[in-house]
Amino acid sequence: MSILSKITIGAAGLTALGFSAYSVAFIPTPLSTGIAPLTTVISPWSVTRSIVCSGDVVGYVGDSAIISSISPTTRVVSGGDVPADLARDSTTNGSVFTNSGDSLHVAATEYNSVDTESIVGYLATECGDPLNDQWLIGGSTTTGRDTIVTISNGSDVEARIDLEIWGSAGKVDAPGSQGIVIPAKSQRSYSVAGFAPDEASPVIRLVSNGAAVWATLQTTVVRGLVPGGLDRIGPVAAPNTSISFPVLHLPSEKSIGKLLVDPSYSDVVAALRFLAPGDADATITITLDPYAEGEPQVVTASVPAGSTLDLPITELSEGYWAVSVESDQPIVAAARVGFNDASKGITDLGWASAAPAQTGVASVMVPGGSLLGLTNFGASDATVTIVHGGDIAEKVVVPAHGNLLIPVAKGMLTVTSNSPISNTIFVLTRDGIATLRGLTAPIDASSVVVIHG
Amino acid sequence: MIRDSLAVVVVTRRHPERLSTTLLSLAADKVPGTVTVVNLTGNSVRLNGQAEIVGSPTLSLSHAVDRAMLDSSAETVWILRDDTSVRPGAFTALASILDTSPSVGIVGPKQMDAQSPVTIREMGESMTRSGHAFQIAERELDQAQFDRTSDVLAVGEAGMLVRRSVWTSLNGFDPALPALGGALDFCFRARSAGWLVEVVPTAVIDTAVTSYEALAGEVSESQAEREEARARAHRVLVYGPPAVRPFRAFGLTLGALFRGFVRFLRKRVNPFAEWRGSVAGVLDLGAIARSHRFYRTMMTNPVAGGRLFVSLSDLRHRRALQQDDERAQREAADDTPRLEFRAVAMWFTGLATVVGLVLGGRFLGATALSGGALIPMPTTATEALDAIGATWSDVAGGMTAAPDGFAALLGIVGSLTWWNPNLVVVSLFALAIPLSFVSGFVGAGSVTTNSRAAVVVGAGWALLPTLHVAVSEGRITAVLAHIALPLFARAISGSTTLSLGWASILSAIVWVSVPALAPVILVAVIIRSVTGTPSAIFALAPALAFEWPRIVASVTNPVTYFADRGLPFPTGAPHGVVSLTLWPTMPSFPGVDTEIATLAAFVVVAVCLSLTVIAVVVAENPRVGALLVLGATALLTWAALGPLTLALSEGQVVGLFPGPLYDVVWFGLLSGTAITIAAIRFAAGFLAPIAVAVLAAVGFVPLTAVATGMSLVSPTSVRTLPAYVEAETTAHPGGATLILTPTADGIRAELQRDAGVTLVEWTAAAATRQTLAEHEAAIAELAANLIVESGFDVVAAVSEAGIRFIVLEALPTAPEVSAIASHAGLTSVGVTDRGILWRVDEVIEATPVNRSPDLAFRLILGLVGLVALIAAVPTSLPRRRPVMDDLTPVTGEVDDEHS
Repeated sequence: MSILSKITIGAAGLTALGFSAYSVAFIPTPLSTGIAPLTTVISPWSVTRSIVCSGDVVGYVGDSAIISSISPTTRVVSGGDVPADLARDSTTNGSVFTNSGDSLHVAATEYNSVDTESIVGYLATECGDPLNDQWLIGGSTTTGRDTIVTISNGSDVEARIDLEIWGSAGKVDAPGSQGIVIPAKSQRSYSVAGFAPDEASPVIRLVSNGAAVWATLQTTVVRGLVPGGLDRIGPVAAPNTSISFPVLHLPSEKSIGKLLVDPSYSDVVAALRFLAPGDADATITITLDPYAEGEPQVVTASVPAGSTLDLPITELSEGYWAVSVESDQPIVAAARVGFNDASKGITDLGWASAAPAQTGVASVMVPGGSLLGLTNFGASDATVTIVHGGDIAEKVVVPAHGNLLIPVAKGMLTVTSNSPISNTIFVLTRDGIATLRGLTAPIDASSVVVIHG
Repeated sequence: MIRDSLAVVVVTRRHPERLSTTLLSLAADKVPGTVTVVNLTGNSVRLNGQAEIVGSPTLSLSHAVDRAMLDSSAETVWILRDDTSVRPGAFTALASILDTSPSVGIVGPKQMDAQSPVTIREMGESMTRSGHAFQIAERELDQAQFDRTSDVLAVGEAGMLVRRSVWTSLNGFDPALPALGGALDFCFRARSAGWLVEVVPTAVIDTAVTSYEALAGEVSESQAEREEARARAHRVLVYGPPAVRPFRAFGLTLGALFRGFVRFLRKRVNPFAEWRGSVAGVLDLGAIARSHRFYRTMMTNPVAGGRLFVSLSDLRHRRALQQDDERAQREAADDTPRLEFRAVAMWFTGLATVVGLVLGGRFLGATALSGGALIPMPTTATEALDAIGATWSDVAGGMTAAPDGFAALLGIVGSLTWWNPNLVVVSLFALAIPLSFVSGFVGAGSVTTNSRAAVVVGAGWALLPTLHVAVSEGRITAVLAHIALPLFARAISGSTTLSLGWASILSAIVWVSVPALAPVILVAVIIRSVTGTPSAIFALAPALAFEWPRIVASVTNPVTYFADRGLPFPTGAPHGVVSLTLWPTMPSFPGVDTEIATLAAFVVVAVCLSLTVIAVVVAENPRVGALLVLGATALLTWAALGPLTLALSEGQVVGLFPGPLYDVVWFGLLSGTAITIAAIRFAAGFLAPIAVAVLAAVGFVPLTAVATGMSLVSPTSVRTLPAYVEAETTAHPGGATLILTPTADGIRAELQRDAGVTLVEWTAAAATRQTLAEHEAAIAELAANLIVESGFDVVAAVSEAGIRFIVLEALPTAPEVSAIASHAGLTSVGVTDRGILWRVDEVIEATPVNRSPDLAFRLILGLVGLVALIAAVPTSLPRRRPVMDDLTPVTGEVDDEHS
């Protein structure tokens, strides 16, 4: 082979390589395959959605060591069928509502104001879809405080519950907290003090193997001999890095200022409770945004990994506030606000669970005229359709990274949004305060996307 | 006295031009008696007064002699042919034996080669006990080494001096043996009748051709072989008792058939000539019976005395000499310098094995590997072999499609370790580094004979990120292609049948594993068949035998043909300019930004390219240029196919894995780099290790992925479904398991039958399907209703689909758990390694599926594969003396050669 032809072959190879490299980098392919994921959208048949209410206000009657019903609650339901009651040891308590029509438009709320010698206050909580993994943040088990966890299993399958409890000094080694069996269609209540005595700021993680359950915390306060404070706290599903409390009402200095002289009233001061359940400390940024005129206040704090932290909110003006928290680690949080009506001599507490950012239809029953707070964590404005008071429909825009406060009427309230929106209803009555959240169905059961693998 | 009554018969048939020489030599030796020329030429011949008898050209030698004897009363006949010439004194020497020894009936001369007068052509004949005929001295230089021989079993027909009484009593030569073995048979019968046969070394004649050539003219080796086998069969059956004749006949043909196969494997011309001759001989029943009757009537003195026969040790000695001769001839003809796998390569292979075991040691001893694109193979070789030509796949709830070439390849490969088909996969992954080194080293032989350059190529090949990303992502197809590609390059660059056989097998492995490399193989084969070996085009046959059903099935959407085989798995391959780093993922390096790692990868490619340009332009190595053309083909394929979605896996669209395509470019670049480095003689000693070290450093992350546990592949059990399901389906086969996996916006539903889908069941047809089967809609309906509390009749739906188990791939706390549990007719079994398992309460009767394979596919693949394998079986020993070319530094390691 001559030198010339050898070099020609080499040059041809190099030229071809150069051209192919150019086409890899710059020439788009003219081919296509038409291969796309194979999916089918299925509307399940006669979907059953069951939402569970915890039922009566419970507690210890007299010196009894058994938790029993103290006062009934009022349950208002929309779109649901006649309740099936859940069994307790010897009585029944709590209810399961199943949808009578559209599974997305079923909601129930239980509420009551109690004024007995051991419990005084107002309670209102949404009823919700059972969960397999849920977090309950709130309450206290110090002297005079009682916190009761009520676990309701509305399904036909028994549930086996494991509790994990954290306190201000870290994780609590709680005897008897594993393998709690809740039979089908039953409810059980346990005092958190039994697991974590004298704990000022407990956080409970409740994991169910088997049936999903609805768990709530009921917390009551007795200062000396004076009862003053009742609320029921709903669960949140998972730790998150963005947490919002779309509306909280901070009482005036005038109403609670005098109480603070007595140290046992320190818990009427608004506070936020945090837990970073992971292994790393969380750095959080709290934004307190007034609905009234004023600049938002921003506070930065560090939450130690594995122990709960209560941060009091002081020196804020009276009125409605939106509180949002950004964290670098997944955290769980709840907010507490106080209430005092000096004229009636009623002191109450309200615990607000973090409102999840949800898309789709969130529905809740509003027990009376209240205020709905909406928070948009997203980077763009969100258009939200609100239907309340039966047939009052409004279309509102929640600004990006902003909040919106809307008065809503009694009755069924639906919040429909295509982008994630958090909602909370603040109920302020003359007997006390409470918060409610509108929740979406756990799985959008109207249409399920099935991917064929 | 013999000379008083002698008839000299000269038979002329094929060489009338030599007849005058024969007659002149007779006259010169003053041979007495009448000379009769039997003219069988069909033409007239010039004679000097001798008697002439004209006969038909088909007349046998024996009959010709008979015709000549009719008119003669001579007591002795000397048989000569037209190609023989008598040397002085030959007749006298022969006649003196007959004169002095009355018991000797036949004498023969020493036949010398007419073309080479000092070489013995023939000097007495013998045979083995089993009937193989042999010349006592054949084509040996005459140094009087046989001159003490006299008493022999037989002598050849040329120059045979025979008493007339012997000739007539034995009826001359057996008419059944006109071409070969007539003289041997004649002498054997003479001995049986009590006569002696002697060869007389002092009687010398020259002969030009063999008895067969004298009869038939030019004959090919296979014709001679066939005739020899026919004569042998005749001999053996005639001399033996009739009772054992059928058994001997059977043994003869079977033995000949076996030797035929051996010759076939050794790629000899006309391997079955012996068998055809044996069959012809065995079937000539009338002649055998006739000859046998005559032999019995004449036999008075059975031939005994082992000294007359060829002994076994003699036989072995003769065969060894023959083979040695053949080998010497072959080696003399083969003067192409080649890269040899010698001590240096052995040492580096050992080093690569150690490195491989350190980096891939986690895989050693695993029963199976899975993760990424890898799922376990079937547990038995039977199941693995069932995949060859299988038209049914359990993927996607069961589907029927064209047989898949890669499944067939896996079936074949898996049955290599028939006791555990997974072992071959584990070994492939654990030994990927040493296998790649050997492959790269051997493959470098296609462009260089310099072992230092080859070591650089081999080391680079074992360290490339294309290999290690494939290993850590479980891409068995890419690993197979990586190992096979350089070997293919070496094989296709050769021109022998052996290299063609290997090229065809390796091209099939590459093509079937990575169909995207099909254009590269096509270009390589076309270049080869245009530039040198037209038969190279046959190298495509095995690949086509594997792939024709798939190619036919892809006609409607040809681009999907190029999808990766096996289980589709998403790639993280960059596109556009970054893909010119020739990295199958984004380049990465610990503690360094992606941008800097990418830049480093670019620099490596640029340096390799520069060195390759030097190799092409300065070192004038045209084969590197050819490799670059192949690399360009691969890059163009990537440009066309890279941005496309080619397959579906777990509901996601999957593109092409570019590793094997980059491999083609890398091989050209590595070869060019290695040639340039090795050519810089003063610096090669430190440049080569630096080049390898740079490659190792740049590829550090993928290289160490397995060792650091970063790889997706890990040792697992052979099961893909929970043990409970496996145990139940073993007892009651045919049941299906519905696997549900919650996703961000819904649920993924997958139906698997029996103990789960294995690697061989992932056919290309399943991976590239674009439409849903009817039963898949039912599965979707069931899945959607299962994960919500609904009024759906789950029992009816699972019975319809034959589902016996439901697995939810989620934590026990997932919301779907309670929804599934809310449906009647399901019993929770518990949490398994795959997820939460439910059993269907009702006994589900599984409908059997048609799993019959495509027999046409199996037949074609089997035939083509057999031919390719036979072509690829090495039949010659390695060269004893390496051929050096001027590039190779001559070292003292000539003795330690391996291959």
